[in-house]
Amino acid sequence: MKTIIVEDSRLARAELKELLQEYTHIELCGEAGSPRDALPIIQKERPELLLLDINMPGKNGFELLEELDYEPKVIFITAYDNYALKAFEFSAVDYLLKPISKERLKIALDKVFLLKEPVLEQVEKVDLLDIDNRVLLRDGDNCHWVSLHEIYYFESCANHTQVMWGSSKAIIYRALSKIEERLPEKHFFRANRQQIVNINKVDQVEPWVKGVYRLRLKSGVEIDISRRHAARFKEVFSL
Amino acid sequence: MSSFCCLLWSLIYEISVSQREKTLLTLKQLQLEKNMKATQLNTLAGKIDPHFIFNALNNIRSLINEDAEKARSAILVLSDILRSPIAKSSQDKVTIAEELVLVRNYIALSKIQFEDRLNYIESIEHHLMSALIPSMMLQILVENGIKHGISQLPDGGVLSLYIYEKDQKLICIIANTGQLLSDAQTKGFGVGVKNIQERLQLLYLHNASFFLRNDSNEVVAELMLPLEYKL
Repeated sequence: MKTIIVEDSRLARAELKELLQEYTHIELCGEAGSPRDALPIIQKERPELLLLDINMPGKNGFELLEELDYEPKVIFITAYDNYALKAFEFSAVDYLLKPISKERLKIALDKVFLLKEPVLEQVEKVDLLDIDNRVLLRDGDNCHWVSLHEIYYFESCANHTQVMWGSSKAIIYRALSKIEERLPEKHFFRANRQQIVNINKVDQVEPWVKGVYRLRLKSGVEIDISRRHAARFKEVFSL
Repeated sequence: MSSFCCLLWSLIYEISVSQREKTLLTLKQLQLEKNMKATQLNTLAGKIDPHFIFNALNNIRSLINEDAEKARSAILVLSDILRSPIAKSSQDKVTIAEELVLVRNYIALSKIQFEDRLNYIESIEHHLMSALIPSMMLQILVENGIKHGISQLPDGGVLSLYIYEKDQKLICIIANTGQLLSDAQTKGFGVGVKNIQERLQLLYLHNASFFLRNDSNEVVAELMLPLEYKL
């Protein structure tokens, strides 16, 4: 598996390389000391896995991910754990604290390989909704019986999700990623870290800055497709 | 009778004035302690930024393979930092020589993390070694110069510390390559600066000052204190 290390301390990189030696299926195809130096290497090699430090010169690890036009698997590596929540917003495979033990690294890498296996069973378990389904949404004491057709978009707020339909909105007490699992992907598209949009409600698509697309919904709301998600958007919706 | 009244009143007045002065003094003492607490929390008592400690440990672990002797001495430096007497003491002021022990150790460990990216220049007029400064003041400024300055530059830079006497004042300059962002004020940097200024006000009234400014390609922190020596 093609892997790149992005970490600003040379000694920390040496330590990681040492730890990775026993994994013959990890093919280290580059290393960089800053996001600036990492970007061209990543674009060229398109590694499947990034071992990524968070605090780095110039940009941090999250900002580097925002600039990529695909989604590699990411194991964050950091000295202190005040970023864990944010890391999971970027669907990190794992989050390791320095110094890293052999055992802890093995757990993280096992997770990476598990993700590679087709997860058919899991897909069946999730109760997928159809676009014609209705869902029960509550706001305060009011109940709404809403067809998925009517929903404009879902937006993550803290660890809840806000859902917008017609001129109403409601809070669902589940994470956006959990809701995403149940939505029909032909109709609902993950536009960025915070929002999933109903494709049928899109009125216009405009190219925006630096590979970002801007969607204008029929309700007038504008939603940006981040660079990370733009590639998939083109892939799915091009002829 | 009237003279007795007068005496009584002046007595009450005296008491209330001295009471008020006492209160003011206690208040000042409390403010100093509070400010000191905040400073300690920000740095050593909290203590040093945990990032710094864990990065150091991680680097030392790697050094064990690469240069065991260097790893052994790095462990001693880290130990000295963690039990630095300055961090623990509650005294308001320390000598420059005392503070420098901590600063130099901190730089030594940072050099292991940043290698060629961190260049340190130090120039101190020797007779000032026993001059007094607010404790941990240089340490905080050096730490910030590295954290917000050098560590943010992919190609690194220079951190310089100059201490000299000018017009009977003690001047400390800490400069680092880089520029203050215009939004630095909102990013918590403002809090640090305010904390320092508050502490100077409590310790020296209006006889000390602190400024942070951009100067060509450097960020310069300038501290001016009344010249005092340890007795």
